[in-house]
Amino acid sequence: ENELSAPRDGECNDAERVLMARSPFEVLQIEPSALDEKQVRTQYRKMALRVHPDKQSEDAETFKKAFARLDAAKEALENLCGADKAAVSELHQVLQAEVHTRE
Amino acid sequence: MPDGADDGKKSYSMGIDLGTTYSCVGIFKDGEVQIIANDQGNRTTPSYVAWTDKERLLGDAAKNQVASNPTNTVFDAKRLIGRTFQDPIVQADLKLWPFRVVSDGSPDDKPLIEVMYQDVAKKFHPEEISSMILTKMKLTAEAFVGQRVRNAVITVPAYFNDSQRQATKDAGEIAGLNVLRIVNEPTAAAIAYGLDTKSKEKKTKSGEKETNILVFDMGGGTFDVSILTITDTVFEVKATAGDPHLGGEDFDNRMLSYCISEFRRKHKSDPTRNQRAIRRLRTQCERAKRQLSTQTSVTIEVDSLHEGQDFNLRLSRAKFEELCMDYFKKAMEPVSQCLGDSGLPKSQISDVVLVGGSTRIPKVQELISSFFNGKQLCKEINPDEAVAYGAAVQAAIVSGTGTEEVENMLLLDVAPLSLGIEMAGGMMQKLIERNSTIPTNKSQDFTTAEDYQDYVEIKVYEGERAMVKDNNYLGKFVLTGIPKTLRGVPKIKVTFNVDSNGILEVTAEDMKTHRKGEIQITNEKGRLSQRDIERMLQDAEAHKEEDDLARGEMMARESITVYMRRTRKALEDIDSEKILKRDRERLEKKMEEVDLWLDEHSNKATKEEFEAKQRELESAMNTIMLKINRSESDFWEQQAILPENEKTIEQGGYFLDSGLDIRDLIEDPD
Repeated sequence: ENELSAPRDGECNDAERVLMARSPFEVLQIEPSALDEKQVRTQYRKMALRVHPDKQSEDAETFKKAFARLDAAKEALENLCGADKAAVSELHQVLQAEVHTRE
Repeated sequence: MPDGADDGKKSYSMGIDLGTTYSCVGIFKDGEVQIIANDQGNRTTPSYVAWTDKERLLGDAAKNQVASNPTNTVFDAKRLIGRTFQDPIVQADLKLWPFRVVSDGSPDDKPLIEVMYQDVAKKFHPEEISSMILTKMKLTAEAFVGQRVRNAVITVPAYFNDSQRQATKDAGEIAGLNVLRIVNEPTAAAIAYGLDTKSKEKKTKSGEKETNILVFDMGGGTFDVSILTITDTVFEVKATAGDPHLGGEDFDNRMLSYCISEFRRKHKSDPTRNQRAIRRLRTQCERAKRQLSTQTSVTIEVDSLHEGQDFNLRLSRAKFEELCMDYFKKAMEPVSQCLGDSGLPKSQISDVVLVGGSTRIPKVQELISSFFNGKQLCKEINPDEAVAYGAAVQAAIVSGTGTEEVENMLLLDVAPLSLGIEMAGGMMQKLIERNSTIPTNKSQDFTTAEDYQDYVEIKVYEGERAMVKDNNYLGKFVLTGIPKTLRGVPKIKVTFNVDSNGILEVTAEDMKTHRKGEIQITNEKGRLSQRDIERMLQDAEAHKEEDDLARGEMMARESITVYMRRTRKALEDIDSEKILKRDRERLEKKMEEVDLWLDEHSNKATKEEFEAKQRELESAMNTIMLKINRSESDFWEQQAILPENEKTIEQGGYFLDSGLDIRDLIEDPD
């Protein structure tokens, strides 16, 4: 029972999902309307448990990148928490529409 | 991945708190953390190494003989590690150490510790001294689990910089350890606090509870403050601050100087150059300091301290506080800085957790408490063991050798110092801000400052000041072969990567040619090269043979001491009417004789001599046991309270009748 549990179900892993997300909202899986500090922190922790390199023995590089992105997303959304709700929603829509290319 | 789970045998990973004055080791076993006692039965081991005419001593054995061998007894390696010889802190400490420290004479200016061993001067890097202490901790853990342990988490002060972390990791490698992770001490302590609180609280059902805590960690040589937000599973460091050179030893030094000046005043003679006197006085100061945490005054007494004069001084707690007050006040600055950085108001800190021996000082507690407006402080966790406890948990998390509860936990730590590069004009361009969650990487594009410039020099610094000259220089590298063009045209991408150990790696890439440069930061300043490390590893291996010999003696010495203790207890427990007076007297006489013999010979006897003495004792004891018509083994059976490490093979332990540990005869699977 001390062996690591089998790698989390195949499909597209959480790290890859974080890296493919189009916006900080998607990274943290938060609806712009539900944006508040508590929510950001809760979601951040939930996602950190899934994409932190310590939680994965394989493909450390992908997880490192995903975790860095998660961290940046948290910071971005924390900064948005004080902003006007309508503006936040608008920003979210813009981010959804635009296809981002990252190296 | 569980490392080296060979032959179905479980492999363990340990957590080591490598302290300035004391070290502690813990291991996650059977669902919980065990803090492991060393061969002297102590749960913390002095971070001391000594060389006598005959052998190298580690831990308690080294500290116990310090007064008679001050120049060859080395401690405080943590105050040297990762620093240069010219570092003002090293220069100040030098004056207080009885052992010699010299520069290696290279441009790196690394400090070397010099001792005399068998009439030859030997020089050691601080990393090597630390590696010896790590080896001692490793042996302690191995004796407990009964197999080789190679994987380790080692803790460092949160405020340790890049070179100090790297050097600590190197020390682990020299000790032959597989260093899983370098973890910050206050973070490790927070884990101990978190698990302790969790075990006491009933599970809150609805939603996760967020708690903000401040860890105040003041040990023998270093001081850290960290603020964390903890939930059931995630320990997130918000901010950290500290002073890598502030702790109990500084208080000892203050008391020592005071005592010396008092001695001078009374006796008109100066003991400063008398190493043995200073050492004896220091030991008494340290003891007095501890007593002053519970008593309001103490007497410091040393017979015939210097030139036949006794030393005798009554010291009140108030006087002690006065001597050290500037240090105590200085410790409050990082507290307020850390709070500011965390963005949390004081009122949001639900617990202030005290860690490290120096937090026992009433004045320190009083100052923290009043800083938090009279708040009750948390003293629930063991201040000496919490760090090793947390390190053991982190070792289980990282290696996947814990329980489900533990493996679901996650530690999010931060980089304690900002990291950046020098820009034109000597400005510091920060790439990574302090208190950034690690691991992290940040990139930024830079360009050339002059026309047709075909190379750039990138200098890396850590620190918070605006100008690089005020910050700590880490190293530099040169990126060449940039196509010649007008200034401002080339695009050079610099990437800073801070790993989970808080160690920095820098790369630069010319985006046009894709030529890359990678910085060997720590080779630049202070760090040992891979060649150095390999050589030291070999030296350590060579030492191992001597140590094994010494360990054989130690085991035999330990075995006879244990036997004496048990015999004494047996004599008390057995109905005295059942023993013939003559037999009893014979045994008691024998014990007295062995006692005297041990006093005189325990430092120089060979393994065989110890064993012979033990056999003499055994025969006297057996006469009695046979007569009271019980086989000796039956009797020992009843003494089943024996700790694991004293049991013989028949009792399920690891010791042969000769006192040899069979584990020493087992080959290292690695």
